[in-house]
Amino acid sequence: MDLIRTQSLTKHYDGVVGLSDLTVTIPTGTIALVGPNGAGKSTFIRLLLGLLDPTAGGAQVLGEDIALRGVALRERVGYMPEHDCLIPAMTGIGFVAYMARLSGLPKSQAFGRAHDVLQFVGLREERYRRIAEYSVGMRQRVKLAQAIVHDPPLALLDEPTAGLDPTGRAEMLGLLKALSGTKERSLVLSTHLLPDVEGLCDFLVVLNGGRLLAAAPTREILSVDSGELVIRVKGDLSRFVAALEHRGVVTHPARHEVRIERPSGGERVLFEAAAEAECQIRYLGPATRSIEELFLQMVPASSGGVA
Amino acid sequence: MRRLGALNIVLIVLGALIVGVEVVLFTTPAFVAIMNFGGAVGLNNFATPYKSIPYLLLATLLAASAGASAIAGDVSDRSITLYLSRPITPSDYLIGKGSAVGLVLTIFFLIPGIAACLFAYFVGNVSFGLAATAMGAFVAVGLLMVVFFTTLALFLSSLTRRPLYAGAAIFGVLISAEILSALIEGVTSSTHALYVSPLEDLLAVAQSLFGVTPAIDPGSAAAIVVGIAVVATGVAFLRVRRVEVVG
Repeated sequence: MDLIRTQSLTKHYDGVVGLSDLTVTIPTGTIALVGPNGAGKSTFIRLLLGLLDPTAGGAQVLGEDIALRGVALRERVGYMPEHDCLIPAMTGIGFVAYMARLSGLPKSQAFGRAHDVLQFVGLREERYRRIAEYSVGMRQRVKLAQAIVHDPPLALLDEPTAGLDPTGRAEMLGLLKALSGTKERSLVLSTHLLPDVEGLCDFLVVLNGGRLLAAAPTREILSVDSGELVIRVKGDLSRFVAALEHRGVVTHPARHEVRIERPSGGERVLFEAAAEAECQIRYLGPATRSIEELFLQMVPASSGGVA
Repeated sequence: MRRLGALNIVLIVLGALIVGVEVVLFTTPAFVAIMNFGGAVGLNNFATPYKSIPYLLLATLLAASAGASAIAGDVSDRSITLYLSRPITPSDYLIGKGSAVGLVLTIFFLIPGIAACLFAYFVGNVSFGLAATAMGAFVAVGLLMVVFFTTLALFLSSLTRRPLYAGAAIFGVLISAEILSALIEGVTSSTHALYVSPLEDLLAVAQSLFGVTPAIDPGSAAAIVVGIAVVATGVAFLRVRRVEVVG
């Protein structure tokens, strides 16, 4: 079963395009929604939750139609909004347990689960303090805790690392990695911070200006068929590069590797160059793009805002 | 005192005021019934709280303090987005908020009246039939009051994201209408002007249920009150449905 399937999903806000004619099928797993600010990521998530009514089109989440079975669907979905949404006067444990109750858990179970998830997110000691006294990082953790307290098969996380310092961001990504390791749970993570995505998500959905630019497994989308190869060697890289260039190979050396245009005469020449430079080839493979490179190619410069 | 904070002091003063006024208003009918001063006790002896405006002014204050933040507070801290991301509908949300505000107002409107009737029956010279009728009237009037003040509070609370503005609006709308109706009545000498004030409409309905002849037609007054409640509920529902604009 697909995790999410949309058909021409469209949302306009008083003439402004939030999402335009989005048709996409997303499998289960850990999914990244990437795009610059204003790309339509939050709109997409809010449409999936039924917090917004689509202007046109439709969608199914976990096999349920969002228009027909929205309420039932929300029992099985957790949501972490981008903006602050906590009740400052409540304690962490009280708030998370309250959200668990609203998700349908009985009172006794709600408190048990709230204790468990607050421990998971690292707020065991602070759970009885008022949310008003929490730091930004702690608030983000409470938001994550309330999103997973009812153990939903799908958690929609809108910019979970927003506003966090590097340490807090690394800790949050660690939590997300731990969550994504569970086969029974899928994560949809929206972000404009591209380094957050690499190594965490196995499927990418790229949006810009409310339009779908790409949707494919991360590996597939990042591999590029440009005819270039990447080589890493053990030994003197500069000597190896010189040997390659001596044989007419076009090279683009970097700090620890060299990217070359695939030689027309086959790859034998590479090994000859390595032998001449007294190097060992430790890695030889097709060149891949980083998500950032992918983004720069896909998103026009005017969109900006991509970190 | 400084450590208590201004808000706490206001709440303490309001609480003391409510208790004081309720004790005076509701012990009066019971006291009259017990003492039975020179005449038969009737249903109209129990109408004391609804014979003049102060009791409803106090109810307005209570509705403003209890209901102002009902929706405005959730919009302000954006927790409404989280609530609606749960398996609840805007109607469920509104019913939940209404229940919370309504509970406070129910205690205010129903408990003292019922207690006064029971006290009058057990201690005073009041028949069971009269006590039960008075109790029924207190319950009927109380429920109408609860519905009216709750729906008005939710409606005005849904119009803003600032609870303070909502509270001021609840109090301001009702008091302004009361002043306006009094001015028009003074100028025109027509009691029809009283229909302009929802508080006067509520008083008219209450008085008729307690056997007191009101200044305006209670049926028309009830229709106005119910109409306001229905419109207020409808608008509040639509505002919550449009939560997408505030998220």
